[in-house]
Parts: sequence; structure tokens; C-alpha cells
Amino acid sequence: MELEELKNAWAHYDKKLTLNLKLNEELLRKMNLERSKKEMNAPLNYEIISITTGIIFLTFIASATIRYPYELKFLLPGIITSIIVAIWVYNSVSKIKLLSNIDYYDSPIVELQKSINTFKLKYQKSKKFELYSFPAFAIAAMPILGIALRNFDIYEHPMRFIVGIVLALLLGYTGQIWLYKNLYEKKISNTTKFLDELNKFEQEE
Amino acid sequence: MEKDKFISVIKDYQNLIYKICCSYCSNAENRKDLQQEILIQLWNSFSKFDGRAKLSTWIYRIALNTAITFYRNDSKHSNKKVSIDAAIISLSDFEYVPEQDENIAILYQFIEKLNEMDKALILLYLDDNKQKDMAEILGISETNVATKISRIKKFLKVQFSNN
Repeated sequence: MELEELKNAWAHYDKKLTLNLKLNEELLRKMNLERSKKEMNAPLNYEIISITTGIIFLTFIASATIRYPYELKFLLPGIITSIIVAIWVYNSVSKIKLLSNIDYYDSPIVELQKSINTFKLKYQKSKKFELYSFPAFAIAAMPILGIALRNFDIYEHPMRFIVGIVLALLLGYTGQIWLYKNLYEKKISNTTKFLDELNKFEQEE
Repeated sequence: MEKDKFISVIKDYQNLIYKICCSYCSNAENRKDLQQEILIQLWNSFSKFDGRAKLSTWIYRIALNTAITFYRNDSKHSNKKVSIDAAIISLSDFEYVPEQDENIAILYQFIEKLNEMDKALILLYLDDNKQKDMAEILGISETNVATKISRIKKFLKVQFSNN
């Protein structure tokens, strides 16, 4: 079959569809389209909540840490915890920045797909960081949270601290590595591959 | 009032939405979900349409972008935005059955073999869009559109001759 014939067949098909397709207006009216609009904002709301929680926690940890400027055993975990939380907050801010740059309704296909997939990649990579940094966060937060919340010096109970560290390392890292392998590794590779395809598609051959 | 206007636009362009859904989803259930997703996206952007671009360009962009995103969605279609069982755009009962139209059925099979972006390109080509419009919808140059169309044409020709 020649290609022009194919195009004619398609035009013929289109005419048949015009005659035979029906729109269920009642169903379309019944659809809760407004609710769907709210659901679309879910990723943005999630990041806003993450930033707010992160900033509150960061302020709390920082104010607790500066109370022990000469006690390295609290100062150092406090600084490490603060750095990790600050990076989480920074990642959420970058995700909001990427999200707000996406123009869903007035962008050409290649541009929009690139924006969506750049955001997805950033999201997946920051999840990877969150997963891997969580055990380190848990270990570092133990001394400073203990002393700040309950005036409990975990160094005076080394066994508890060691158990905490072992649990965070064993359960934390093995769990996180399993989660990352099963949830994000393939997604990151697929998104990267699609971004490459989009760049190739955009380039003139 | 706004919804009436929206429904009238959808009525005018239901063929386009139907063809996009058939090209991106071979499974009837997913096709129904994609249809809903496209209608939701169109409704969400309806108030923002300012007439700078052609209505068809706006519909193609949103419908194709939604189809590509839906097709690539990692958590495949488990997160339905609305729960409606019936298809909103469907064929009248006991009349035209596209699956019985051999050429169209074969053509859909070939389209299925193309990647997401090439699917969009061939749909725009088959719908007889001008190269300038296709370039505008896709966001690539006209020369690039021409080159890619000729490559896909060759692919389709080989597919049809092998068939």
C-alpha cells in the first residue's frame, strides 16, 4: 500500500469516526474536574510541607546545638544533622523551582516533556539522597535530640548508643539499598534514557 | 456556562482525542483512563486558553503531552483521578468497528511499534497537519519535522511491504 493511500485511508477513517463517535455529555458533566485540579497540586503541596517541617526542625536542632559550643560530642552531631536537613530543604526548594517552571498548558511537546522529566530525575535523585542519608541522620540526631528533648546524654549509656548505631547501619542501610534498588534505580535509568531520546529528537538529523 | 463551551469544543475535537488514545493505549481499560486524563487536563487549561495559538494546536499539545506522560508513567495508571467506568468518547453501538477496517488496524499496529515522540509525529502527519503547525506543536524546527517524517515514512513503507 502506498503512503498516500494510507493517508487517504486515515482521512476516510476520520470521516467514519465523525459519524460514529458519541460524546457522553452527562458523564462529562458528572466528572469532578475541580477535585482533579487540586490533586494535580499534590506534589507542590508535599514539597511545601517538607520545606516547612524541615525549616522548623532545622531551627530546633540549630538552637539546641548552639547551647553546646564547647562540647564536641553534641556540637558535631548537631552540625551533621543540620547539614543533612539543610540539604533536604534545599532539594525541596529546587524541586519547587523546577515545578514552577513547568508550563503544562502552553509548551510545545518536547519542551514540556523535558521539563517534566528533568523534574522527575531531580525528584528521583533527591529520593536517593534522602534514602542514603537517613541512617546517618538518625545516628547524628540521637545525641542532640536526646539532650535537647529529654536532657538525656546518650554517651552515658554507650550500650544504647551502640545498639542505635548498629540498628541504623544494618536495618537502615540494607533497607535503604533495597528500597533504592527496587524503587528508584530503574526509574532513574528510564528517565535519563527518555531525556536522551528527547534531546536526540530535538536535534536535526 | 464555561462547561457548556468546553463540551462544545470537545465535541468538535473528539475524533482527535479518540485517535490519540487508540495510538497510545492498545488496552481498552487504559484507553478509557487516558481519555479521562486528557479531558481533565483540557478542562484545567481551558480558562487559560487565550487564542494566541490555534485551538487545534492547543488541543494537540495538551492531549499528546498527556498521552506521552500517561504512557511513561511509572506507577502505571493505578492513580486514577476520577472513578468513572464508562468511556466518555465512544463509538456508537452496532455501527462502525475500526478493528474491522484492515488498513487502519494494521496502521495502529505499526504506530504501536514507534516510540512516544514518533507516535506524536506520525499522528500529526496522518491528520494532515502542515509542517509549520507540526513544528509548533512539537517544538522542533520545520526541517527537523521533514527529515523525521521521511524516516518514518520509510519505516512504514517497509512494514507494509513486509506485511
